[in-house]
Amino acid sequence: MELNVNGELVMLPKEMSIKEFLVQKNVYSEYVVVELNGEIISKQKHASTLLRKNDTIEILKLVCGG
Amino acid sequence: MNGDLSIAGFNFKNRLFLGTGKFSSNSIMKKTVEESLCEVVTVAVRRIDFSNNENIVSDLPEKIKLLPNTSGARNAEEAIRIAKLARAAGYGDWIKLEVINDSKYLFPDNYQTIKAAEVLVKLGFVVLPYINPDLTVSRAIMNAGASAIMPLGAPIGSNRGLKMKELIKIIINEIKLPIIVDAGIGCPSDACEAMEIGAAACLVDTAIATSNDPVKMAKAFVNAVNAGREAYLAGIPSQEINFARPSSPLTGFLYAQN
Repeated sequence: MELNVNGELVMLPKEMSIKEFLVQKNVYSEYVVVELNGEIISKQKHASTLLRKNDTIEILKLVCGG
Repeated sequence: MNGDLSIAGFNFKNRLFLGTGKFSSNSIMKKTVEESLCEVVTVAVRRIDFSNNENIVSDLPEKIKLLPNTSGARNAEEAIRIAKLARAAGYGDWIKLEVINDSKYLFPDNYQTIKAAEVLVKLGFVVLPYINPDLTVSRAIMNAGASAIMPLGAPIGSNRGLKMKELIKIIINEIKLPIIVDAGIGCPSDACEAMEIGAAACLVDTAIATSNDPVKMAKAFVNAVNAGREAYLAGIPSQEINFARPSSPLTGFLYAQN
């Protein structure tokens, strides 16, 4: 299924939770911020929130900056 | 505590705030923060790079106060979204409100900044807006409930010093909020100058991060900020007079004076 991840079209083999997606990408829930279809999803809900076809997900973190 | 800078219930001894951008490595950035004893650092919010799972926050001292910025925001709506994302990272609700849609000078959009500040304060953020120095804008931001004002000294990264000194002085004199000079501070004497006119703190990034020895430069800046602050508190004598006034007695001369 197709979804938009950080502005790019990505194909996932099936529906999965945000947590599963992050683990697959070798990213830890603890230090990222996730916005799904315009709504911020708290870390506590990463495991229980499913990614679905045509979802738009932004995965961000704090980086160096002035 | 006496002499501390107080913002939104937090007290800081070190009036040099540090930007974390442009360092040649995270380890140098970390060492600079640690050895300068800076208590406030800015960070940005960006899309994750899946090939890099570094978490810079874990590189920073535990007690540091993080000040995420809304860099990348071109208008109030974008700044509000970025601020919410920054807060969701879980390091507090301070935000350096930065709204820039000018790619040449990187001047902040003062009008959009006021709009965003009004919303963000109502959402419970501790808002520190970055502005192009303007007294009217500063009043609006203060009335909106911001916790400080951050006027630029000169364009970001330009190292041109306090080009906006006169306007910054006016804001310091008229606005009862901490005024933190941010952007354009190019050398320690610039920071000292800002503190001498009554700034509450200075935020420096480029001049430290891109120097040959950022750790040494940051310490130099801390000394300069302290010197400027002490001079301000001591009361700098008037600099308005443009003729000389002798420093030695006017009587008892060995030679007759003209």
